[in-house]
Amino acid sequence: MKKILYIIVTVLETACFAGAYIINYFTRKRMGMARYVVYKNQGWRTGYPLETMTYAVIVLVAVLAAFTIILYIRRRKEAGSRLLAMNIVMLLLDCWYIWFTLVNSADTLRAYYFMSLLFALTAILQTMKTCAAVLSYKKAEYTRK
Amino acid sequence: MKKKWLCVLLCTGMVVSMAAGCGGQSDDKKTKEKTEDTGEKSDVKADSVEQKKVYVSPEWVQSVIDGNQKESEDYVILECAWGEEEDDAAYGEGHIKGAYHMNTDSVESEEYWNIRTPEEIEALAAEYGITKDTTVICYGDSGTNSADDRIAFTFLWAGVENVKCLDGGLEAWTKAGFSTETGSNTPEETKEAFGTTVPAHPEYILSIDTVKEKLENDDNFKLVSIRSEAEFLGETSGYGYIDKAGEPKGAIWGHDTDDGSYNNSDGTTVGLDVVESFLKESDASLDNELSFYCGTGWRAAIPFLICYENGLTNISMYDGGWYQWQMDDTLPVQVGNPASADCVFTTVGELSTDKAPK
Repeated sequence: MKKILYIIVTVLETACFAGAYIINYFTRKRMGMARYVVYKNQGWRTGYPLETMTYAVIVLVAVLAAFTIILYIRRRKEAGSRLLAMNIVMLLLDCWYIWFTLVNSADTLRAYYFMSLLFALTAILQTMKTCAAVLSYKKAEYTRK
Repeated sequence: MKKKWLCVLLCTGMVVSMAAGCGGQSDDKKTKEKTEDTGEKSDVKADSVEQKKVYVSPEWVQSVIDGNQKESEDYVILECAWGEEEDDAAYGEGHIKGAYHMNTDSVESEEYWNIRTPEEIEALAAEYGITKDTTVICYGDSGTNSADDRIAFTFLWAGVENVKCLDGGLEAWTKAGFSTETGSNTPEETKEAFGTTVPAHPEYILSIDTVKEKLENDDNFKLVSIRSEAEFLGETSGYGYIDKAGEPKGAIWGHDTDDGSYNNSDGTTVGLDVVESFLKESDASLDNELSFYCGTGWRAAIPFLICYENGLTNISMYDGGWYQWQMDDTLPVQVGNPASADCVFTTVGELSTDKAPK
């Protein structure tokens, strides 16, 4: 069951990354897509407090990542290389999301909101997956003792 | 163990490739100066045309390039298309000698896709070495493509006195047997002043408020929709990003340019008689004050330019088009043929939001 969930989440993460790339590609290549994206940007900008939401998600991702890393460090001696790899990927994805969101904007990259949202999803999924793996590992160790 | 590290490497690779993809936008100004001339020496002499004449033949354009027109002293050729130069397949495959690519986004602002501010257009003109005395020759890939007409209209509005469109576009050019070149041309910025206040012809563009006021109070005013019949009848918005379909209340149909209604069988642009015949269908004439519009301002440029080159002065463009109109819930609209009894008159706010083409 755990393995199936792990695979599903990994597929979702990959789909989010691919989706961000595809949206950006067609926004640059197709006029209709570019205008659709700009139209959606305008709607979102007027309908939602995007800046506040962006910072809230960044903080959430950072806090979740910090919590997971602390948990992992506590168990690092007992933990295997699989958990180490998951933590590294989590850090990479989280850093990528935060860097992308802070460095770019809808003025410089039309598909920015779409891409930032998809990268946020990827980062959160990976962080939760890693956190769950660290927690379940700990539980397993505890049960064994 | 190997599988785990492979997974880490794959994820890292994805991040790096995304970074490379996103960074691509910033270096679009990197241009290659290399230009390959695939044609032979030519010395075409064509009859001169009046300054107000907009649609010109391939022969005339070639004669300008060959130095045989008075316009040869100061001219710019613009290959007009949406998108960056590297994404413009038509320009990459071959363009008229010396032509610069111009992205239509450089003349349109994002809010309503209306023409940018006078300051932005003046800066754009300077970037391409254009002053009011420069002859600007625009072309697109075909006669029905209105990207060149949109840009030609913009420079006329700005104050360029001699603006041309290659009649029939690149298709007509190649059909006439003239050569193209590949490679990229970079315009040389001019430090010279534009030479007049931009816009020199503000009267060419009507604002949404003016259109609303004229539709209510001016019987001689005709708002002419240059859209497809399905768009005019409110069956579809015609655009993936516009949810509502209909027309401003009081608009008449002037036929579409995308379906070839404004082209002769050889792809060249029709004459004023065709515009007149379209107006007659709605009991309007060239004597009315005419304001053309479409979705966002491309297609409407064609009948405007036809009227302009034939000396009409009672013409304008409602630049905001249906896109801007349908953003205000209070504005009056018609759905259906206004000449028929079953035409529905309502407001934008009452329209359904499922009319974007699927």
